[in-house]
Amino acid sequence: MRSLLASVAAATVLAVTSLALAGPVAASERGVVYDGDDPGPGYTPLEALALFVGIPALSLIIIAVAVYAPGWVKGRSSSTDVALAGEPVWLSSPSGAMAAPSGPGMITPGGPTDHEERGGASARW
Amino acid sequence: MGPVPAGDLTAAQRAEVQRLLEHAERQSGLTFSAYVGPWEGGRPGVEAMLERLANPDRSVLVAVDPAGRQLEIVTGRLARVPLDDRACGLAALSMTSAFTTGDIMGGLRDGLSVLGEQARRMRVEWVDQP
Repeated sequence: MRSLLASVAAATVLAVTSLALAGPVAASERGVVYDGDDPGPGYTPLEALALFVGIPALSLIIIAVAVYAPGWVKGRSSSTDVALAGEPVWLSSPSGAMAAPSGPGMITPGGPTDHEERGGASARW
Repeated sequence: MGPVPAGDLTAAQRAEVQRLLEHAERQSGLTFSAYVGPWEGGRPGVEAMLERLANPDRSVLVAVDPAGRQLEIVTGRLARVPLDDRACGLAALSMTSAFTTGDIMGGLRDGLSVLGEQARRMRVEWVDQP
């Protein structure tokens, strides 16, 4: 949501800056008619608003939904996993599916070890 | 994946742990197992769990009790050669660092990565020795 707000803020700043820079240029050209010019009737304020604000805003919304929708869907499916929470979990790597390592220095059941006890570490937090 | 409350592992997180275990096995040639939940008997209880694995001598078992705030890493007799107690201590340290913030998944991720990497390093060193 924070990145969405940042995107909207950036788009707003860009739009305002563009209008501020384009305004004086447009004003200086006002009333000047070049050969072959056919400016037409122009836009009504409502049309201009729809064209320059409505369509970009709609595009922004569509893109934002396309970007964030997968995350929303994923988040919703994760929440259904809560039923699994708290149960003991036991997972193992598929050792039966892999070949035992071989070669010089590889540990094998009769390999180079003098350890008789279990090893490891303990910790609390 | 973000931090999860103690004891909570979603199906997606379990799948990730499974991938981490498989990756550690590919790196090291050892069998890695993880248990998340309560157990009885302290460290001997985890050693008894290791004994029930298919090949306990070549296995590494990481047991985490989020409710009891206890971590045990047990290596089999042969697994202890490439994965010595110091390496296990290093992994335990990285895991408990994450566990203290309630990030069980992050701790498992860090610990299994350290264990797999340490075991792989020893394996490569041996191969390089004449």
